[in-house]
Amino acid sequence: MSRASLRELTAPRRGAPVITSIGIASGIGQGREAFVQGWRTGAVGTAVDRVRLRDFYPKRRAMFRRMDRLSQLICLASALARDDQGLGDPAEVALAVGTDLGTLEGTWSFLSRLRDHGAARANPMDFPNLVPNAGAGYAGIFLGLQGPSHTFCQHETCGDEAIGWATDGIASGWFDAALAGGAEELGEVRAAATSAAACLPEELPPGEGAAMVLVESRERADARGATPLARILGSWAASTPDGRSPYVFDVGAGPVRDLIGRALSEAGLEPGDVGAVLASPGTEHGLDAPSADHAVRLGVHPADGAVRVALGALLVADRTLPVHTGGAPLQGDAVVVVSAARGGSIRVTILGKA
Amino acid sequence: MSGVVITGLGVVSSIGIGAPAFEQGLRSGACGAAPIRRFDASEYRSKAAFEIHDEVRPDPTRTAGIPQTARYGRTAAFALAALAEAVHGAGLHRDDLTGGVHALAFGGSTAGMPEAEGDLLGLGEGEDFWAVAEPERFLSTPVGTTADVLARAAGLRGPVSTISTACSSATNAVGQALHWLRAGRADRVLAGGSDAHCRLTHAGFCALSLVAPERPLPFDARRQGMVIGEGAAMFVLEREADARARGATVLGRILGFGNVAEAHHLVQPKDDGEGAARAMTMALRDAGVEPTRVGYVNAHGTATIQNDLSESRGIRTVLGAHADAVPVSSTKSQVGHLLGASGAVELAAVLLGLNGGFVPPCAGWEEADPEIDLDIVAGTARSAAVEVALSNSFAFGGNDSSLCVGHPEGAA
Repeated sequence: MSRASLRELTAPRRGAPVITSIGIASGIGQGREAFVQGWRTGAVGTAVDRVRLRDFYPKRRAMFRRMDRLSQLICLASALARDDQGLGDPAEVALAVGTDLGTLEGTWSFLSRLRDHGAARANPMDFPNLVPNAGAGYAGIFLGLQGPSHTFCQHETCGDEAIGWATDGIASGWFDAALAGGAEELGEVRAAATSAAACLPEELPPGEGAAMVLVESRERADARGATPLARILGSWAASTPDGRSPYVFDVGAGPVRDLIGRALSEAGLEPGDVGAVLASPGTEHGLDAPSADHAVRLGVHPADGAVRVALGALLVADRTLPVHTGGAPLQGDAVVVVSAARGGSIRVTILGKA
Repeated sequence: MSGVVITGLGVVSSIGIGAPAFEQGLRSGACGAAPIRRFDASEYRSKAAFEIHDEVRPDPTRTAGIPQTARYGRTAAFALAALAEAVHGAGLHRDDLTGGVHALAFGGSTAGMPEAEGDLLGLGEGEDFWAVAEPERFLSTPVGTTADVLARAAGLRGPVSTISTACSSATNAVGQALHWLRAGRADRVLAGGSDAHCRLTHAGFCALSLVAPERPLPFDARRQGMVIGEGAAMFVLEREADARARGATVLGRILGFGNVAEAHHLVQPKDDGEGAARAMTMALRDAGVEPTRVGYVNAHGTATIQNDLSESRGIRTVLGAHADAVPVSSTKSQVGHLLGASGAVELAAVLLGLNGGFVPPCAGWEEADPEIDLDIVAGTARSAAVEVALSNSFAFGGNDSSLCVGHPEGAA
């Protein structure tokens, strides 16, 4: 086993990628400024008010009617990112989306129609939306993204995983830029399932939203004149197979603590370099950093890892903690984002000053 | 940098459970299509599927310590059996997977849907689903749950990833494994895919009129569409230096991976095969392999009119005149379209062919389509010493992927 050469193998061929554009659609605001304002004031909102894609893609209106809500949220956040600091040449941009449940409402509706009206009435227009990568497909078409495209579904870590995939892809030279993030829709079916299954931490309300960020090489950002908001120093993942069931949330403190420690070590950071930790519920017991803040208040679950990474980038850029966590200046250069999932997956993303 | 090799594979398919039976089926040109028995298909356009009705549990002495259970549904049961065979074949045991960084990259689309949909579709008049449904049943429906089951069964503590890009899912999972190993993200990766036949997907593809009534005939002028299958394939991937150091048998090399978005249409490929060609070209460039070294293409080959035409044009674009000398087949002619798992089972077919000196056939192919200018492997397997092969998977969302696979003893 060649563990001794791990550091050599992981040494990035290029500098740390940067986050430039951010698009967020959430219950506390759409767009970077509205979202940050909502976050700073401690607003709570679990549903996205209006999704008006025609404002962003006026030439694609004919396609909107056939789209499911999850795809709409992904396309909305992608457009907001595009309108933030642009994407550069879209044909060379990769795309990564995390979604745990896909369009649960659409799946339920399709099956209900099958039950009530028989196979002959199954709707051919609805079926393509039921694959988890439908939203990525629509966003790719709308924005002309022709690079590699992946959709990740490992529950609550999938949004962070998408951003980690983008980071690794740029570091290895596979591509130079990727629009990456996560999305989840909220509807009656998911609300009922969450309640009936009682499978999530009590403090985690079901919510919906989407966050997409443009991750690109520093060279590409500089060349197109985009201002980097933060560097992504790395993304690490682990799992714990020791929970009670593969279907429930049961991540212990030890594996979370171990992964944070490994991530800091491999990023060349000391705990004192960390100015804030944005953690998902269930991971707080593994944290040693003093300024942990729980993104649970946003109610954007389960793809909210992507939201936390976006928040981390804004924190690093703005250097000020939000009012409800004290409003103090961010101490240290790094923000650590921690997510954990049903089934035992854990992910840590570290952001640094641009 | 050390290359990435496959040292274990396991297969569950309608033409054979376990790699030896699967290989025998490939060689003989077997076709696993049969009338659907899992549910009443009398209302559907296609009443056939490639279902698995035999016992999928592997020999208890050959499970490598990985527990087998049907508790988590058919998708997971297929995957567990394939995983056990792969780990055992790699000369490993579950105990070997708990140290170092052992990761899982999984591709699929159905997870627990075959079981959960029955609760909704079988609901009686006035019954409330949430009152009668077993929570464990609907908790098993998110596609990521199959990977959770596998990771627990194998005792993994490294990264666990589920990629769900419809019909390219498992191919992308193998690509993810390749990237993890190259980057040092993992010491060993268990990768592959699994899907089970369910009414949701059957009804959907029937509604889209993309299915054939009895069996698929990829690249044949008579083709009418796909027929859905079920099954799984899992692999053990590791860096070649590590595999050689422990004396493992190398089954093949993953030389390169390509994945692109067409950005064209949600379900229809570009007529000219441009996306397919870009994916194959990316895989070859990633591998550092010239197109003239390609000796076989395992096509996506769904047997729909449009896909086969588009893919054949893409192959011709990439290989040029060399395509005249390259055998092409679609394993979907034998095992059906396994959707999210299709790329995994087709990669298994490629590896078995490379090792066994044959290329799998396009079962049932008889009548050439005048618009498809390729060397289709008809009937049964053809003897061939192939050094480099391409394995293609194309999906809804315009997601096109290709793996460049090398012979175990070939040049890296």
